[in-house]
Amino acid sequence: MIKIESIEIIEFRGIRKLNLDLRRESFGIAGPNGTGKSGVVDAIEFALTGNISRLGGAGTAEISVKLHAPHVDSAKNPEKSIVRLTGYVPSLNKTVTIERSVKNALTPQITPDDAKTRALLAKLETHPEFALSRREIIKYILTPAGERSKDVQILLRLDHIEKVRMSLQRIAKDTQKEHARAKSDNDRAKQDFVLHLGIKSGSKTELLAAVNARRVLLKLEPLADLTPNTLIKDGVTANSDKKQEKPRLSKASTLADLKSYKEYVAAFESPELQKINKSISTLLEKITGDPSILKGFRQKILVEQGLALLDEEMCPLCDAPWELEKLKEHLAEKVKNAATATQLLAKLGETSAPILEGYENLIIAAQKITRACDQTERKVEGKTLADFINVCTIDSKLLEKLESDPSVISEVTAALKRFADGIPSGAKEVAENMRLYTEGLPDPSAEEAAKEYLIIAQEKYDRCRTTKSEIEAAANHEILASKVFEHYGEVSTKVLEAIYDKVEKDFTTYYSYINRDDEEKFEGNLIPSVGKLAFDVDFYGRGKFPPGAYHSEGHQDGMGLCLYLALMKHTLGDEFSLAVLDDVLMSVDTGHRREVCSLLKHHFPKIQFILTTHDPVWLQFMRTENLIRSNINFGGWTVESGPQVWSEGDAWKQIEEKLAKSDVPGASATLRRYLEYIATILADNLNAKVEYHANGHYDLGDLWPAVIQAWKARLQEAKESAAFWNNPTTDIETMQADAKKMIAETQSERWMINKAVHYNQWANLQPSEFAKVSVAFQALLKSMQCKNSPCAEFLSVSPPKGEREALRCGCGQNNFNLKKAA
Amino acid sequence: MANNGSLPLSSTVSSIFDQFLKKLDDEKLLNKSALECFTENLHLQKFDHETLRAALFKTEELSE
Repeated sequence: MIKIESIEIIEFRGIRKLNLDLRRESFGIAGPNGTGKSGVVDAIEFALTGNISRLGGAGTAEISVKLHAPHVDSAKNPEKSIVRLTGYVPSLNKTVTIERSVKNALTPQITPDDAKTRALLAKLETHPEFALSRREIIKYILTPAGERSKDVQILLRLDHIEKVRMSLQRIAKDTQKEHARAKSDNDRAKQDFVLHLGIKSGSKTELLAAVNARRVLLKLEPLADLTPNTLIKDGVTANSDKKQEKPRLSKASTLADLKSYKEYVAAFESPELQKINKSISTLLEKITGDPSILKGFRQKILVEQGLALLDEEMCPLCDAPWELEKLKEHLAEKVKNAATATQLLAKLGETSAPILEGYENLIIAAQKITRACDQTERKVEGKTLADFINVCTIDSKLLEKLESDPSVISEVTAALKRFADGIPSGAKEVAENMRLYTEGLPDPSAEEAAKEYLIIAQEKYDRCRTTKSEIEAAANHEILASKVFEHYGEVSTKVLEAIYDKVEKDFTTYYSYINRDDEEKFEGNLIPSVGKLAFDVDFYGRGKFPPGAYHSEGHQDGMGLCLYLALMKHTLGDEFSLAVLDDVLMSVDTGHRREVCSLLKHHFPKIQFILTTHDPVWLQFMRTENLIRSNINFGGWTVESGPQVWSEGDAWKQIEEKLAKSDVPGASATLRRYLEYIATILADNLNAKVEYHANGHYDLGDLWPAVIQAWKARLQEAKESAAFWNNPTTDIETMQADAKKMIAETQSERWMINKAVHYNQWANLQPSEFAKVSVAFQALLKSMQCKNSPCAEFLSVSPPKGEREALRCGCGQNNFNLKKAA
Repeated sequence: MANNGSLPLSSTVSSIFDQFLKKLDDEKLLNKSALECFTENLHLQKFDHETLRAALFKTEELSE
């Protein structure tokens, strides 16, 4: 999408002021940790997206771009914290400038400010993944399949797919539950109807026989058939007793309701439901007994509610200012972390279903009894049963709510205890009293009984028709939701599989390329399944394993980079033009670094890579392999001045400038820092024998003597080899003589007398004395470089490891044989 | 939950949504207004289950 031409960074992160000229080319930034390299990465990301990813995510809750992107001394003046980036946009064939201040991070000044440039910027903002650190890259490799699926989908900007999938899945599950509930209602209504009719099988023949027997008794036309429109009570006249305000209690129907109620009571108190009740109690004990689960449980619900409330740049809970997208990410991370709680919640929901059904059946049956009590003119008091119904209603709702609201745990625990205690004796007495009362009622006349039978049958038949219609609607909803979910799964899986297939092939190609010395036949498999993305890799032909199982950290780093590149290639296609890799390959071993450089250069020739490293040798490889054309080195860093920076050649200019101001201590510090940096590279290039330090810290006193010795030794080997093969030795002898003279002029051997203090003594020299030292070092280093200016590489031994064969530069102008035998 | 301030959908996501909506249309699973409402919700990034559900059963619920 864009290639960076230049960037100006002012009062941003650890940087006070810095201009970098990148010229659309790959660029290296080297320097020890803590010197401000990542500030450049942050500045690029900020300029292009208005955000800094590493100031977000896990563990950064109190850190924000607004408050912490400015240099610490400009924290109260975010308008002074500015990044100005000029880049070339290949698709538009034009150069654009984007300027953002931290104060107005989301409203950049763009030149030219037109629709196309704005569209480009909007697109860039959707792809912050062009800037990546090792921590971010390795997560694609080492996370569980479920997390990887989410991380990869976020990288591919596919997270929306998962959100829709989850919503459609929930709709499908809900409609499934609703259908089951509707069926249960219908079953209950049918059972109730059959019970009232007093028939056994519920067949149409039996039903018509029972109904027609009453109709005949009432001298009404028998029903020929039972259809949805049939009126069972057709022709039955209303009760002529106008004084009777309330409907009269039907003895037969009430006895049937009592019988039905008794059956539901038995089911409610059955050992099966009590066993389920106990298992739910155990689950709740597990949750309440583990504060971390309980916290996760509560946090999940709270955060999900918080996510739903987000519509402005502040926390919905405490009104603290946040950036909306960052807050969303932060809350989504919290929800993700409550995985154990989520699993337990799902299990609770599943386990409690039969109990909820038990409650529902009992409540409906008991309500019929209390309504019957109301018709006894207070001869049977139904209040205790009504109170019990209320308790059951509340308890069942609590149990249902538990899945989405952990705040009710203690109330549910109390409800479960009530369930275990069974139905209170007072409530049972109501049903018993009602039974005695009903049985004591005079039997109605045959005509009255028949009339009552038909009227109530009609009510129950109507109820059956209603529930049947509800069941049909619920079934249709379930089928529709299930098909929609299924179609979505099919379409998204098909597209994702095609994507993962391409990514898998590219990943395998890249990783095999950088490990062609020992894993040429390597193969990686991305295996997508619903909500997951498993990743297995070959381990030396011994089988496929997760990447973290056997491969070293360095290999994992390599895999992370290869998977990232494969994903980016797919995501952006031809628009993949820039990747900023912040110290991503620190664990890749030396032997494979050149291959990594070669991979980036040959497989991604059109991509501008900006790579930071704390390892100067790694930077040198990037140069040697022509991956980067230019680089910058970060030296010391202070909070007042920011990083001390030089590019190749600049060190000498800085020394000159300091000497012009008679700042010998400053000039000597710069020389020392530069020599330490360059000595690391030369020691590696020349196979110098450096005393090993376990802490990995090497100062100039450790490196420089070894470099001098190695340079002399390699020149001597070149001369001996030339003599061995009867080749002219004049050139090499000249180089040896020059080296001897120049080393003497640097007075290196004099400074080496006391390794502890020698180079610090430069600070005590007069400017003119130090100038001589500086010029001598410059000349010596120049003599170790290729004279061909486009190359200008420091000569290095080839191959880097093993028997030395040649001392050469990248362009081949210098190529001294070191071998004395074929 | 309205999400109008969100970043635009990626081309892959748009492609999946388009294919999905086409399949719903081809299969005549949704009535016209439900499909329109559902399509609008996806494009506006209203992905929560309540909103999508309301769209899915739109006409049916009105007629019931």
